[in-house]
Amino acid sequence: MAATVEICESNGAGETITHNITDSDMGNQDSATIDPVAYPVTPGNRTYAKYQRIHVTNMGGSSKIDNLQVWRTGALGGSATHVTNARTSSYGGAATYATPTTSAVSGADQTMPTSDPGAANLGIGGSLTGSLTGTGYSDYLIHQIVTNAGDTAGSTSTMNYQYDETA
Amino acid sequence: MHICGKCGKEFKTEDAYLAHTCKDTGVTPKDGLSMGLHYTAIQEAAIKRGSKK
Repeated sequence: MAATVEICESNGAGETITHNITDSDMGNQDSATIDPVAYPVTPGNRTYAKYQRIHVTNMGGSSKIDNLQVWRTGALGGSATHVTNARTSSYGGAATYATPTTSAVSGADQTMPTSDPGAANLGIGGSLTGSLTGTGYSDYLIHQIVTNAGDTAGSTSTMNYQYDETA
Repeated sequence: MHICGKCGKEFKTEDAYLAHTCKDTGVTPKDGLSMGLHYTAIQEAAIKRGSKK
């Protein structure tokens, strides 16, 4: 046995939590399952911010989950950038959920890593050295794509979520 | 509200979500198989990383 882990996304004013998502659809609607083609971002604007967490639903006999690392592989469309609150130093602590918007989110101003950051960049309990010893959630990962006025096409890339497990 | 991202079923509480047997995965969200077909590889890699510390 080992731990069971899923990625969850929060949306809406009342924080609807969609569990065990399989992708991050980023566009001009606050939803875990938007069709980015149907809700494209106007060039020069931002996508709705994503608020996602790593959720341990079952420890499976293991004692600890820690060292959360998040990054994206694959290029963005045009000259868009991808910003996040994930960072390996000067971590801002546990972000508070707020209804996602297309505005910039305070603290989510770091460039999303495009390779394994090599150290924790998402906290648990507000700390990069935090851990889960039972079922529960990580801090919120906030991320958002910032498009450029000259961007004309979207893109598909891969989000990577990594954790360490102590049996 | 809680929604299962696999089968789309809605729940009022997290406990209810965790207790349901998903029509897509065939298991509850507490079962490793809910992580996908490659769940054993994901789990083994996580434990391998954890054992190196």
